[in-house]
Amino acid sequence: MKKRLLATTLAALLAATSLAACGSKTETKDTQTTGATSAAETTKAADTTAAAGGKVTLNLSWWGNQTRNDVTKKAVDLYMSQNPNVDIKVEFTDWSGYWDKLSAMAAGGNLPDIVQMDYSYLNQYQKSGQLADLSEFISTGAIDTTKIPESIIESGSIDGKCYAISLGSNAPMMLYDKAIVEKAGVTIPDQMTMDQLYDISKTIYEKTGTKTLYDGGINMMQIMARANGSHLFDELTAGKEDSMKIYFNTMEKFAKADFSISADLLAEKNPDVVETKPIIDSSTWNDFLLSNQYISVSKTAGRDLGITMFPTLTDAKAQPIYLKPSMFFSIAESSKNKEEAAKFLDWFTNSTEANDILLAERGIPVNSAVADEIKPKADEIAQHVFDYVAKVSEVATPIDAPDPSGKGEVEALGKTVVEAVRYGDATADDAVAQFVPEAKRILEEAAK
Amino acid sequence: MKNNQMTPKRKETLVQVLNKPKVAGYVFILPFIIGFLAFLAVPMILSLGFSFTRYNILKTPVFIGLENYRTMFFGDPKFWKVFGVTMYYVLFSVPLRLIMALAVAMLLVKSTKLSGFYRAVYYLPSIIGSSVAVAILWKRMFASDGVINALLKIVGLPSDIAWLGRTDTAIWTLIILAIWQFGSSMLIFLSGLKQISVSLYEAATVDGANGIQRFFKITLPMLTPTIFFNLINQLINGFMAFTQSYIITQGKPRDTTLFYTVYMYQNSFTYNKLGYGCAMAWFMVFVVGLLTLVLFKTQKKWVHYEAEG
Amino acid sequence: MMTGYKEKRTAITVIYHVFTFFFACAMIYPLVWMVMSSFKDTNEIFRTAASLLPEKFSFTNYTVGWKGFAGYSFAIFFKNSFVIAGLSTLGAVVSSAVIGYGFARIDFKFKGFWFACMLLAMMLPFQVIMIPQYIIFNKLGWVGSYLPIIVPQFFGQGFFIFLNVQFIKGIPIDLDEAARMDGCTVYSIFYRIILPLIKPSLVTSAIFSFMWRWDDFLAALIYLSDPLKYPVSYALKMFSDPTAGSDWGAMFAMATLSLVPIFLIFLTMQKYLVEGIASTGIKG
Repeated sequence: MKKRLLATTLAALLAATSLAACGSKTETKDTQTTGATSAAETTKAADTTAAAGGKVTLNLSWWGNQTRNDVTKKAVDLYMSQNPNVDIKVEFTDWSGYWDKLSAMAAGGNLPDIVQMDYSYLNQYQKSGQLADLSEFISTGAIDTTKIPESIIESGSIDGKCYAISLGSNAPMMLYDKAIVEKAGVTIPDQMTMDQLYDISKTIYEKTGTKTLYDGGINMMQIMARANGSHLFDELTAGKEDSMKIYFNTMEKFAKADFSISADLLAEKNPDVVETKPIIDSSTWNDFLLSNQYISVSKTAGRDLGITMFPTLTDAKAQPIYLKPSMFFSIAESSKNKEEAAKFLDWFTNSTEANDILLAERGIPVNSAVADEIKPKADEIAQHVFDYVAKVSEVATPIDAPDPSGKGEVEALGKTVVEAVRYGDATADDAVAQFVPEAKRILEEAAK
Repeated sequence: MKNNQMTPKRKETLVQVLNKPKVAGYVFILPFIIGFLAFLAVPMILSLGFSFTRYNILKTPVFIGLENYRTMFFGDPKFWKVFGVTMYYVLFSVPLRLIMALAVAMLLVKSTKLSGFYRAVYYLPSIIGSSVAVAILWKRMFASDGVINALLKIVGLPSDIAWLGRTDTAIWTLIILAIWQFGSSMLIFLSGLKQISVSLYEAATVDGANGIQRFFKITLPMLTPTIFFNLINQLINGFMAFTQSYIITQGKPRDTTLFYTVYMYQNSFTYNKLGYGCAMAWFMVFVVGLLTLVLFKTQKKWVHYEAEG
Repeated sequence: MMTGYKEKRTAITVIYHVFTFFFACAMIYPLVWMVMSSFKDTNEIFRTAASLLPEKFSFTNYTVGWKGFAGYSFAIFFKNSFVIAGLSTLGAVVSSAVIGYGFARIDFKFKGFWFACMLLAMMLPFQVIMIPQYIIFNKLGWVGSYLPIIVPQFFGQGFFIFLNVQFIKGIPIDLDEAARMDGCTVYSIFYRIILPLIKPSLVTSAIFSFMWRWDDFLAALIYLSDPLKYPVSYALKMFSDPTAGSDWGAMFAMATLSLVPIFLIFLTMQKYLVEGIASTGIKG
């Protein structure tokens, strides 16, 4: 018995130490990595595999639905037929499962060579040394960025080094039901202020009885902070209340108005999921979303929905609207074939034939030449998105820095607090007093 | 059986050794011990270890002593909120589900031409498990424009209730789901009922006992091992309930349906605080373990085992 | 007198059937709704919640859903599910019966300790042991194969062990003693006496095990990489993507199809429960 227990403890210790070793290994690697050595290493690795007569195997992992899985696999097959020395193993899963799986893989030290990355996870994976620095491949031209706007490369960069290439651009937008707006006889400006939204909503409710959605979650917090001339997470890290006061007061003002969607109906609808957004069944006349969701929403709604820019504030200090890189791709630091992975990413982002297959499913292609070529092939609904993103890119200001660690928890906290305001259980002042210090604490904790 | 093929001389002693209860016991549970040590013990000990660390999965865990537990008990109001929600859920869903399961099992134990059909129909809700399909299904049932409200309208009751949106009703939609899926407990009750010897009933009938008396004097006492099993099992299941809250309500509204395990999962993976998540998990193990222990201790008072005479 | 009794019996039978039938209808209404939804357009599912019948029956969801993802059709996923659920069930039922007997009938040192370990393993949520377990299986080189999903099933599952223990404890000990008089060992008692008597619990275990392994996607999510190995439960999740839009119609169609095997397993298995009840069970 004693022996068994001993063996168990021993095994546990062993596992624990190997676990620690695994973490520290990547960290040391991260600090010692200089462009030259790692590039040399990768080419060497690629050479040996090629010399051994075997193919270079790349693992490619993404999340997505049926359409994305189909088109991505098709594009991969095309690449493999053009590059017979490369064998790409695909792996796809759903959004929430993807991140569980990725963290398990990272803990086990076997991340796939190429991973689809999201803006909200980029920081965290980079900070723990999981992602390869792509700057060297950009400078050698392995990844061609000549036709990609500088802002897109920057959005995937941390501390001056690029860790992720975006496949497409998105922009936040407000959606409205054209028929209801017409019936109410109001005109929707290109970009309204929250005060204008208040007045328009009132008119629409009086004329048609349709209610209004007024909360856009953390996107709205970010946009209000930007309109207020700062950035959400800068303010929260510093414990500043300015923009949050604006946000929660606006929410309170809307929550009290009888034209607003009631708190319990909103909780039931769940605007986080495309198909249950309140605009779908005309519970509201408007909705907030990111442009890549537009196609699904209008298809599910089955009618023509108008697009306008995400609302700003009256007397805004800056244009808050921005282009958000959607569907980043990163290369794992642990990959043995970074060079080949980079080549694939180059083809994925820059080649017309790849994007001919992908058809902007991950957002409008970042390569402007490719985007122009793809556009006519897209259907009418998708055209709206192309037009909107083009329009936004003329006025957009640079996006906030990649979300800090702890963003997920701050977002959840924000939802809880604003819900209290919606249900009338807290005033805007209560909300600010609760949210800001708590968010500050979370961010401090997460930065450790 | 295998040892019969051994050489005659060794066979004698080996068989004797193997027949000793203390050895035989270990022979029988050996698969469990191997599996437990190989696949469960280490992860369990590690997760207990993680509960004393700050660990975001991607970086090496940092030892922080009892900090996670301190935060949990004194610095995280949401922790007590979700604990309360889960207790409430367990308190109502477990007994109601068991009563329902037993009642239907009694109804279906009767052999008629349609028994197979009824059994299948009552078991069907349970086979859909807790997939995404159930999430959509349940949300549409209880939607403001859903079938529940439509039925209430026919009866003439208030029919504009947002069941999933109101802080006082949302949790009940999940409790009703738990009751609706009583099939697995029912099946166990059915096989338990099957084990009861017919002669007991015949004797009771001769003694002039009526149906109700037979139920309380024979069925219920003889069924106690099954009831005990179902109770323990449903208790554990109740605390471990995850998917219902995670995919149907996401804890809305106002965290009134946020289950303990969902919050634990969010901490572990969404907020990248696996250390804190592990601390939460082990606290739950402590609470459930304690309740189970109490039930095991009271077992002698009310559970009737044939084997113990 | 005789006719009065008969009439009463008939009345009770009618009431019994009417009640059971209507209650059954209420129970399966949501399920019928789901099956009906699989014939509806995705838009229709979300716009008209209260109506049961689709505006027009369409099989598009089935054809679209069946073709699966990236060229991997549901035929592959179903085959995989059968392999995983079938082997796991075999392992879990056999091993849990053996282990259950050990716990229920034999006294040995530290029995309580091991039983507590088993209960403990049942109480700890999988999510928190997922990462360490992944690392272990990764070191064993098992990640990417079915081994981490199937092999542990062959070492007993707490729920089924416990279920068997409860059943075996319900069997009178006199039977064992009589067998021992006839020269049976603990091993042959298990094989000859106990095993045939716990058939209901074995059948129950098999039904549950198959269903749970069939429904489980978490293990598949963590351990499988090659879409060629994905089971149905995991594939079903891929119809939905909250960030880009989901095909709920196709999901409902495939979810409905995925119920068929577990339902058939139940139907075939429950016959054994029925038979048992008919021959030795209680009467009215």
